Amino acid sequence: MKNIRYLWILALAAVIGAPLPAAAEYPDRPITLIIPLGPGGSHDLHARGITGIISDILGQPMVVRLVPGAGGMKGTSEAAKAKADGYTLLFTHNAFDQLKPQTVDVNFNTLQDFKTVARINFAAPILVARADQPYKTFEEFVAYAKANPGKVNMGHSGVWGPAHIPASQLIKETGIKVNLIPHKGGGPALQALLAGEDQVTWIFATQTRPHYLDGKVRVLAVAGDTPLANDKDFKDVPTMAALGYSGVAFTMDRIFMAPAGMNDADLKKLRDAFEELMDHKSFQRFITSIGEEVMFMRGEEYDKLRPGRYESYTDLIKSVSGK
Amino acid sequence: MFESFLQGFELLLRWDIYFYISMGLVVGMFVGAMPGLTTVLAMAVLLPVSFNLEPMLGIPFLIGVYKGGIYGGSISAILVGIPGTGASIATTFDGPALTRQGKARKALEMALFSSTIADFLSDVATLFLIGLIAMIILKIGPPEIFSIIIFSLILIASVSSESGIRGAIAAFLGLGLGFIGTDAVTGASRMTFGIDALSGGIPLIPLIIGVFALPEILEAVESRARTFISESVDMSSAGERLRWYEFRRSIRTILRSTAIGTGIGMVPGVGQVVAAFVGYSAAKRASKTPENFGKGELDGIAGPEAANNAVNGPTLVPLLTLGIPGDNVTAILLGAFVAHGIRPGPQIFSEQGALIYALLLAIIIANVLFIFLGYVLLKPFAKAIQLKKAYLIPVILALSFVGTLSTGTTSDLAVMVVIGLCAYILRKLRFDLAPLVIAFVLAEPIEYTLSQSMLYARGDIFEYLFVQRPIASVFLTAGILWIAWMIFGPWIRGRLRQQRA
Repeated sequence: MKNIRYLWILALAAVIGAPLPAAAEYPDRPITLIIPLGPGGSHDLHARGITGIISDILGQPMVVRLVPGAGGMKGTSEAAKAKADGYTLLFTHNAFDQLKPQTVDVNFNTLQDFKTVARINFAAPILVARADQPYKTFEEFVAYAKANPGKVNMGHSGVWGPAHIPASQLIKETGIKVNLIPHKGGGPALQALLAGEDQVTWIFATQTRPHYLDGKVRVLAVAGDTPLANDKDFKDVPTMAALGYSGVAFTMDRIFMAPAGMNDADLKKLRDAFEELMDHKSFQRFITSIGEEVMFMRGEEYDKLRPGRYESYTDLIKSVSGK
Repeated sequence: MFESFLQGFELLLRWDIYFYISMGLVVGMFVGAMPGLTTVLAMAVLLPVSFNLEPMLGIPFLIGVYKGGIYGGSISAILVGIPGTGASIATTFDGPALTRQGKARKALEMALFSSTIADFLSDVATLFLIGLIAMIILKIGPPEIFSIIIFSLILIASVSSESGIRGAIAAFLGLGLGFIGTDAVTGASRMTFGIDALSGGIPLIPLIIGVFALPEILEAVESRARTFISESVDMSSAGERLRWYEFRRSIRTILRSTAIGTGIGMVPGVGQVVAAFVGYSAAKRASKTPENFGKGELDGIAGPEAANNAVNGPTLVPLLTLGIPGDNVTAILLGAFVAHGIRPGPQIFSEQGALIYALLLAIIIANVLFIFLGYVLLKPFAKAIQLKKAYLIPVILALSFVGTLSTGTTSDLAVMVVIGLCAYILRKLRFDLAPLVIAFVLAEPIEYTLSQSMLYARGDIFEYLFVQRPIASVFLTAGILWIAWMIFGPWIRGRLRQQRA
């Protein structure tokens, strides 16, 4: 009974806008946002815009902390071991969340130790080829790779990164044999393609665009089942699902995670705050300015997808390492 | 093209651009001078500030932070022997020695002039040769990077310290430390002994502080009873400025290092550190008094400082012409461009030529501004060293810990202390630890580019490196010949002399 009365007082205080006791309301101090990646990437860029705006909604600043290393697992582990009080959050992507922990020894259980706060958007890797190659479409590429096993150099941005996963899925689905070349990130992978070291690579729309418009690269297919409908240059690029390879499904989800032990009321507040963020005018302006879209999904819904995806990656890892 | 160049000039005719550049320079200089704080982090934190400014203000501001930060790293390298970044490791060879001789201000000014002049020249070269540089960069793939690093290492080793065998041991230790953590190619963890703190490898900043700062502090504590407690470094002449004749002697070195740095700047990823070491080695080789190097030679400041700054121009080229950032700094700049709706890439000169030329010119002007700003701001730094060592050392120690913690995790502190103790022991055994650090820095690119080359080679790596890749072949062959000359050269010369006699 006492609790209920307390809630009433809280509600009343909220209605008349009286200042609340500091300890009562989350958040009452700055929130640390761990990013398990280095400076300058798309996550860093998103975070710099988002943290500036979400502090208006939460009433407390959100401070970015970049913890790269160990293929993203260093920062992820730090977030997993942080106190589950909502003052340490993680901004990551699904390869780090659902795949990478299965490939190395980690000191946390990703599905049990994290809950999703929000998915902001996703980016689909596109399969691109040099314009001087004989194949012009995805089917021609597969036929060429089958006729010339091991001849094609396919670049990617690092093992189990957002380019290596669709590449592995493609190899698994089509049975082609290509020479997979790792690079230190998407930039060097693109540079290797432009230099002619690699003939094909996987890359996101924003990075491909200038070179596509320049006539240097050809766009063969986009991973997943969602066409890039809002993209004036790439809206007609066929999806892997439409081409009959629905197993080449990896898209990079940009997700905010919280340690699983966080209390439900605070977690709901965070999730609501992110939903509110999506309607914020300056956030929308920011996302447009960096050439991205908002493709919001509430944390509750995203959490339902995670176990299934986790398992599909278990199979993929087996098929890759089984060779 | 010429028209957009002129339009670019017009964009520069407003005073607030210079105000923001200057602010960036000053902020960067102070951040860079703190041991453990990195310029890259300062840029990442200040990136949102640039979102709210128009591009002609925000991007020059960030570039100011960068340029100021690189120089700030040299300040601590010269004054207390702690390099702020990998780029200023080579500056610790002669910097602290000059400080001990009471020539701190001369060294700081030499670093300032050589840095800004080299940066200026390389930026101008970049502005005019951007198309050519872009072409060369595409010719440099993994096998070329591999062979250029190997060649540079041979060059550096050939002029380094007295004891070859100790240097080699230190270098192999560095390589070993560099292999700890995550296998860069397969992503598997290795040599971590199951310690979580090592899962991401040994981070560079704690390593640098551990190797350079802690032994220095321990040695000072150790010798307390003898000298240090009452000593404030002899600073009667610390305020003395660099003389024209002293600067004039280093002009050749600055120009040589500018050429070296601009060249190495086209090799992605490893630029500044290698350039600084090669610049130092070349200056030592060309010097009439190589025996003074390492004991406080102004040319030993000019060599690495000019070279590491000359890298800056060419590293902008892949960013501007291809939209590809070569390192963390250019990645953050790309973020700033993108947030303003500017997409660097092949079309940028036709679409936004005026803006890009204006930015390049602003970068060049930033160097000129920095000469004046730095000249004025050096005084408090040169003064700080006049503190009694009894005060200075605890302050440095505290700053090192705070700095490490601010950019890393608590486990980094443990890594730093352990490395510091080991480094102290190695120093007692008269090991030179600079080869350890450069080998550590280069371990990953060497391994990575070699693995990539082997994948490209599909089998025969030697045929691939020496036959299929002419540029790689030239560097590797030159390196081998150099080693042969170092081993047999004295013998051959001796024989020739005998015959003549």
